[in-house]
Amino acid sequence: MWGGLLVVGLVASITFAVTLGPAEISAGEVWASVLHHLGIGESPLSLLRDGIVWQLRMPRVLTAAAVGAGLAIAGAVMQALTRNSLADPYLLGLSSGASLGAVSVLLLGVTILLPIAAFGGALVALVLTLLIASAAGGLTPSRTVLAGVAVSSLGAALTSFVIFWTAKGDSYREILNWLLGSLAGAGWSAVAISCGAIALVGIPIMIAGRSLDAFAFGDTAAAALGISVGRTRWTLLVATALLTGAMVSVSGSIGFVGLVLPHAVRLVVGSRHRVLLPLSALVGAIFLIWSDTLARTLFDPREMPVGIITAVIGAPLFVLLLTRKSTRV
Amino acid sequence: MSLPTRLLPLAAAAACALALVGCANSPGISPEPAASVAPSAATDYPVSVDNCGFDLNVAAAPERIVTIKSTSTETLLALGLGDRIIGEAFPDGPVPDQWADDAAAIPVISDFAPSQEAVLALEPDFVYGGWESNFTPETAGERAALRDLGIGSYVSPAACKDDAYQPDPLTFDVVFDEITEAGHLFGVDNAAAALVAEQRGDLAGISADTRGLSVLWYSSGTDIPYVGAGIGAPQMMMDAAGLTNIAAEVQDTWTSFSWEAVVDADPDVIVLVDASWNTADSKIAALEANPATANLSAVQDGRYLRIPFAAGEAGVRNVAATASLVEQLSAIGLD
Amino acid sequence: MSREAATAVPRVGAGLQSHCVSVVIDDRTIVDSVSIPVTPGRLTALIGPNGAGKTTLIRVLAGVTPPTSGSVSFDGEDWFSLPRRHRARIAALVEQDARSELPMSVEAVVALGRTPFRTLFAADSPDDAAAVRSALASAGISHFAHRQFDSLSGGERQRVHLARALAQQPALLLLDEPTNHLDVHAQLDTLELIQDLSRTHGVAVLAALHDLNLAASYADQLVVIAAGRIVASGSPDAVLTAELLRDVYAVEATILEHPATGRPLIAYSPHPPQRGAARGEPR
Repeated sequence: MWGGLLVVGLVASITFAVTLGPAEISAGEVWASVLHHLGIGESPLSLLRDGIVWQLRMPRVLTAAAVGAGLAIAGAVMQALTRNSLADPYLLGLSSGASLGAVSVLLLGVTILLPIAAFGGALVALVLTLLIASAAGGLTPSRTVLAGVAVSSLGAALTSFVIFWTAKGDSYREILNWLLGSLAGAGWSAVAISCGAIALVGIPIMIAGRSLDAFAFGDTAAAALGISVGRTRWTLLVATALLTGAMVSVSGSIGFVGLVLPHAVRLVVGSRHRVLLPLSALVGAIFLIWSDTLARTLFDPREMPVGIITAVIGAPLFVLLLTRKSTRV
Repeated sequence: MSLPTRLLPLAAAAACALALVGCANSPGISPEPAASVAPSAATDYPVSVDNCGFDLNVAAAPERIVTIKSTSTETLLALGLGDRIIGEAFPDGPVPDQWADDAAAIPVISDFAPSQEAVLALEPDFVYGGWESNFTPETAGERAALRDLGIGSYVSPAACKDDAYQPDPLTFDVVFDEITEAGHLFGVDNAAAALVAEQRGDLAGISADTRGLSVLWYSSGTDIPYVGAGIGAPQMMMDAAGLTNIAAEVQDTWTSFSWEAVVDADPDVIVLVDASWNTADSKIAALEANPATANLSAVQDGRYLRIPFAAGEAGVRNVAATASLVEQLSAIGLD
Repeated sequence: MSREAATAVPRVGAGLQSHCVSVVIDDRTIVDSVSIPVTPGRLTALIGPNGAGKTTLIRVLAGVTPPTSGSVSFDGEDWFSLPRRHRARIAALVEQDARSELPMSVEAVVALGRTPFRTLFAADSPDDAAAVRSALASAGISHFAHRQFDSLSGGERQRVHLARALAQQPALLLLDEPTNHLDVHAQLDTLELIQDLSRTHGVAVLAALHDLNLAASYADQLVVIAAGRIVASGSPDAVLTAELLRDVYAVEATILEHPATGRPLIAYSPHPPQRGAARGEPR
């Protein structure tokens, strides 16, 4: 039931968010333009204004949906795998690794495409985290979290160093946007990456995620229920890291979506992952679509990074969830 | 957990020193160098000035001056005080040709905002900074601390951030007032008056473009553009050049903007700020690569104006820069 | 000696049988060459001092921890050669109270017991729902199926864990100190329940128990383990002697006969502080 409502909500969100923006274009014209690009009818807009709809707004809204969904799934899975309510998608040092990749392109002038550098950085961080955790003796949740903290700190320190040492003029603004998380540059390639990641990694995770329920009482109980604990954990960790890495590479590290939304969904539908994961994905998509719409229209014609909006909404929401008895942290 | 760790780079960036390296000179009319003048015996010391909310008292004409940012260096060079500069820091680009020789003799302390120790090691009696952020404990030192050491400090009034002091809007009169005030502080009232008169003359000689063209002042940023807004130096120069700024309604000196708003306005011309770390050509490439901005009429026809970064901030180069903009505009034909 | 007779291992047909199972971790021998049966239709109680290796042994029997040496057979086949999921359909493990980190309803916890029967893609089947319902009823907790698990008391949570195991509809039920936090009434309830399971439904039940008198009252078989080795095994009458208690637990006691059940009833004597004598080691 909730699923149906949320799907309708998502479609409605996409349909309406794309009509909003600094430029004055009527809703009818916007939809006519979209239909035109889908092969139906002509666009009533000039080439330039049509570009606003089809090159700026449409890919951005779709990317927001995919990224929001991906981050919510990743957050929920990380929380289950590490049995930690404070886990988020970036737990394994992923966002720091991606930041390092991003600043090396933006500031050190390394000539790789930004999304590739960011994704590569995230993967390096992941490998480092897993190596450290296993070297400490076995991939337990607490060791993985601690290793992730170490790698995150290292990545953040290196990123800060690069910024401090090389940032000239107002180039730091671009880094700032990336670090806070921004969908401003999302074109159709970003749509391809983020939707591709959902299709290729996100959906399999949601299916495999059913076994996450068994982790609720620890590894022994899960093994006694027939789960191959080590293999399941590794597979889900790596898959989640890939999903997160892909999202971060197109949008920077948007915070709070992966941390807070799964808790909110749990409050309503409980912890069964077969239901939790898809619903979190839908809620994440809708949330980020509207957060981004706010980011680009609230102070029209100024734009701000969407990470600011998600933090401003997410932090109080998190406090609210904490104070409810049914959330255990 | 991730938010605090990500604030580290944020904090670093906010506190970080920004280095500006050389770029192209502004073509066209340049202000002529004023003759070197000895401190005028007529200046009445001590001089007291309220500079950005700081009580500045100068007991005698400063002889050992450290400048931070190009605008400070250039103002002193234009007043003929080059030989009193014992060190400069944080240059935004090479000085215009007529001062190149004078400037060559000045040692560069740092390409970024200098540390307090580096400044003090030179034993200055005055520090002339372009931004308020040049005077923090991590950079040249807090102004009160410098005062206790007997070192005077001055921040370009156009860069004051406090509401009571920020020029709103910045006008040429404010710029000229800074020149006059600086001249007074350094004991060269005559030279300052001469320079201001010359600049006023040059300004009056600029015939603004009459076609009522709209303009985007594009400073930096690829995903979110950073542009000249309604109350700062860019607006001042655009007004004098006869251009209408599409971001004029934003009450700020520069602002983050949105490409959608740019495309919606479809400006007639685009001013590209040229800096070595972010060249005009790279901005053109960004505009052409973005499928939405690629169709802008200014991009399609290549209607670009260029201005060096240093000339885009309030200082002695603004008049010449405006003239250059007008000259570049006259070369652009529009129906 | 009665003790020698008590350690003779009976032959088993179906059910689980461990053969000289040893578990060595980090050069420490936790379980040392243990051969015991878990017999269908019987309640076997595993007793021994703390640190004797009971938990590790139970984990081996549950198929969770493979032994370092020795083997376990189920119905003649090698237990560990069966796929993990198969083992989970046969044996259910109830460990000491575990709390969940994330909020779950009681029903959701019990439904976890159906995990071994569900594949990734299958929808919820009516069999699963029926098993959950019946498990809730057997454990006597149908009335708070919808409450949040973490809002329950220790005793209530233990019963939910038991219900989860019941939902697995296991042939083997292994419990590690299931009565630890329960009040007396709940302790007796639990033991009645698992005894009934073994007697009426033929489930093979092995429970590590802390309370010797409870073990004496309810178990069909007692296995005494100390320092990883089996010290005694047999019926409660045969195993529970004052000498055993002195050897294994270093306590003085008198063994009486329970007036109602006829089972051994241990009356402990006052106990001056002792030094030196290593507890739990057979002489």
